[in-house]
Amino acid sequence: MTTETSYATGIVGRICDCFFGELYDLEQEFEDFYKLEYRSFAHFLFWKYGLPERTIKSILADKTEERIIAIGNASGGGDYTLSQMTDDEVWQKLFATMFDLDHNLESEGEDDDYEDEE
Amino acid sequence: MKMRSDFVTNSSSTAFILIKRTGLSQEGIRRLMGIQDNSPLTPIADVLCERLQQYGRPIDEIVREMTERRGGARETDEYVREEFSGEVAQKVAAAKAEGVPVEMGWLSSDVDSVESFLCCESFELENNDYYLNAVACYW
Repeated sequence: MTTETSYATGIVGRICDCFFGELYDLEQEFEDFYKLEYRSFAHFLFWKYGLPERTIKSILADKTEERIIAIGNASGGGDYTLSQMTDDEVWQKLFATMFDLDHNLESEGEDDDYEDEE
Repeated sequence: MKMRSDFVTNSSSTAFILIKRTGLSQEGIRRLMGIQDNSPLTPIADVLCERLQQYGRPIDEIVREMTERRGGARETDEYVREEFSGEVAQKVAAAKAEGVPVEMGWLSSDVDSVESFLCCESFELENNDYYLNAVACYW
């Protein structure tokens, strides 16, 4: 992707810091603090983090022992310029390539499995 | 106290100096940034190349116009020494002495996301073909 020690390598490093700098494990958070409050981990993702139902189902369908589901703060490291750009196609393609993102995370739909009140 | 009721924006611009020992090209800027062929970073280099072409103008011309507007024409060397650094001024002077084109311009945070990113960056890049200084970022 880049030549070693180049300016572009620095950009890639800052993108990684931006996305992974302050990650924490959502399942761990659920287990430690929210297990009694929410009916399931899926409900927790839906109600606490506002993830669309189809996205939650897609994430959970791909979940394996080796994978963790994490959440971070893209501007947590103070570099909020990158976190502002996630809607732009150029950056989306870059992020998708860097992180081998799965584009099948559906976010549209009318599912209502989790919409019952907790 | 004055109050503004319309949109209020916080925009920024970063001045750059470009010494061109060869003509600008997308491949050249990719090499300068250290981006390999087919990298997903190439659109960023290509936007930088496009904007350098679009905004870059001979430095003597820009400095004269700008300093005249601000109340007194200044020499390029003096201006670069104050706004960039003595080291950059030496590079500019050496390039001009060799007849190498030296351009100056500004990247803006208000155009699109890639230029905004580059505007908020602070960088100095150099290889055999180009010297690009965009360190003066006041974001």
